[in-house]
Amino acid sequence: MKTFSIIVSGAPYSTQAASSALNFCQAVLNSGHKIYRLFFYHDGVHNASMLCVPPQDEVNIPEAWSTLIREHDIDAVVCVSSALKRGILNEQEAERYEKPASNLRTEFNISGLGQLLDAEIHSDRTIHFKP
Amino acid sequence: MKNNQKLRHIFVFHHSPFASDLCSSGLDLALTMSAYEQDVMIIFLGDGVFNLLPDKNSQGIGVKDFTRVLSSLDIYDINELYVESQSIQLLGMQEQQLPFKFKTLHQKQLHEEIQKADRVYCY
Repeated sequence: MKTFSIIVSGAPYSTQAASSALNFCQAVLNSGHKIYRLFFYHDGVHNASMLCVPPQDEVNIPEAWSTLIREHDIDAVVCVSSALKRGILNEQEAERYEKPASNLRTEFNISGLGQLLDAEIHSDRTIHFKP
Repeated sequence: MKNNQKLRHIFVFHHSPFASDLCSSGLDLALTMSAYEQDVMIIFLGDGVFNLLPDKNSQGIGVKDFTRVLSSLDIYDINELYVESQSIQLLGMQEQQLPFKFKTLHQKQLHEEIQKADRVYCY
């Protein structure tokens, strides 16, 4: 058994990055390996939006991430600087910057790049999915 | 694995600086890794070499010039800075156009360095 951490830098639907990352995570878990952390960086933070409404005949990628995270109890971190810049806010950040709403899915946490190094150190492999 | 472990990170920059903000986010990551006392080597390859051209002016397109930090990476304790030599030729550039503290590296050496690294990030 190996431990993986996954970095996602692509927004859902724009490129195949997010979807491939999701499929890869499922394959990792189905093969009996562990995921230490999911780290959403750059445009990847859009995967954590609560407000995506894809057409009914398409996969709801953010929803699929939430389900995966809940079912396998995975730590999912969204990079704070990437998220704030792109309008992905949790309640505390929305309050801090006096914004009228928050939109971070409840399964995700906001934190810094230090969490990415921590993930590298605690994983056998760190795989980066980018646009 | 221990928390104080030092990993060798190679950052390969192969995108041009302002067509996307990929290089900018890659550089942020490199600076963070160095701030956490990780071993950081930076290599510019292909269009990534454009990041190194001096006297860029991105004001006209309303973008912050993140490449300015490249001239002072030693402050951040990043001292291993390389450019892949064939890329310079392919772009029709001269080594003299680039800031002197970047050393050149051949493709074979690049492969060897990547083999030795613990983590490789491509931007």
